[in-house]
Amino acid sequence: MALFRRLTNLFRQPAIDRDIADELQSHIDLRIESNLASGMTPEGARRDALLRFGNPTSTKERVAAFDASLALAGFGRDIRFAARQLRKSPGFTLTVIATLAIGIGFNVAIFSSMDAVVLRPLAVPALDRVMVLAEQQQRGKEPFTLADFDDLRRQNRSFEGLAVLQGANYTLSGAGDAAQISADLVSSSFFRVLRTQAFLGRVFDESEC
Amino acid sequence: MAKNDLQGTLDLLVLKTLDQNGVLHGYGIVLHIQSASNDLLRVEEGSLYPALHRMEQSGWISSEWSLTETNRRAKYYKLTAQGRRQLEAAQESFDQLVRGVRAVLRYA
Repeated sequence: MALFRRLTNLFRQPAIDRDIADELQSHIDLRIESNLASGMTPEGARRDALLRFGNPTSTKERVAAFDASLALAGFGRDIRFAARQLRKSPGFTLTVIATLAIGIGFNVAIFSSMDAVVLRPLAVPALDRVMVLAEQQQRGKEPFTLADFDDLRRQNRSFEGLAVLQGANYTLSGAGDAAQISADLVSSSFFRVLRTQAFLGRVFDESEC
Repeated sequence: MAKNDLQGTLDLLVLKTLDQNGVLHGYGIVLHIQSASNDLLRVEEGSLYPALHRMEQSGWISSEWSLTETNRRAKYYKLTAQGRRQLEAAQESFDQLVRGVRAVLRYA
């Protein structure tokens, strides 16, 4: 019971506390008043009143615990009442549930895709040190020619490695129906520069190109 | 049996006091019980206020802040209809308790 009381004391509102403190104080004051009326000295009146009252703090705690625990019980009662009301109007309840489900579902879907595509970085180690180089001309960015790439590689002194990439579409045929696959043509240095490995098996190296 | 009986007896005394005196604050209840019992019963003031709040939450009494004759603020309590019914029930069970205890003590 004491533990429960301490827990419910966590939810006490200051207004209730003040109310209880006022009530207990007024009791003590009234006794002091009648003590004075029956001839005690002010000091004696006060001491007698406090003595008779006992420990105001512990009394306050016990009173407040009643109020708080019954407030919690009232809260439970309110929830059960709300549940009963919802059961009585199933159309409304189903509409609300469907709306919430669709709303939450949308949010989760959008966030997940944003998270995967935009928010999470590529699974490339030291991504902050990977640069994309492009040639800028008056008309805009030009695709790199292989000759330019060779020149860069030979004269390169700033980068650990250089790789080049070109998008391509291929048809995968063999067992079953043919399928269109989008792929990239890459230089042999590609995986080395990006410091990544294949999920399964191995990637090619210089000697195989 | 013990703790609940003590609590039940205090409840009974408070309810009866309010039934006979209309509205009273806590201190007034203590004074009335003391004088009506010819000083035989002294209410434990530490137990009175928890009991009053418990009874209020159970709906047996209602409270209101007001001013005393000397213009002091105090919380006054009065009996509700439910409280009056509770008073009758409590009186019944107390009578039963007393008769039972007497019977056991007189048993030869």
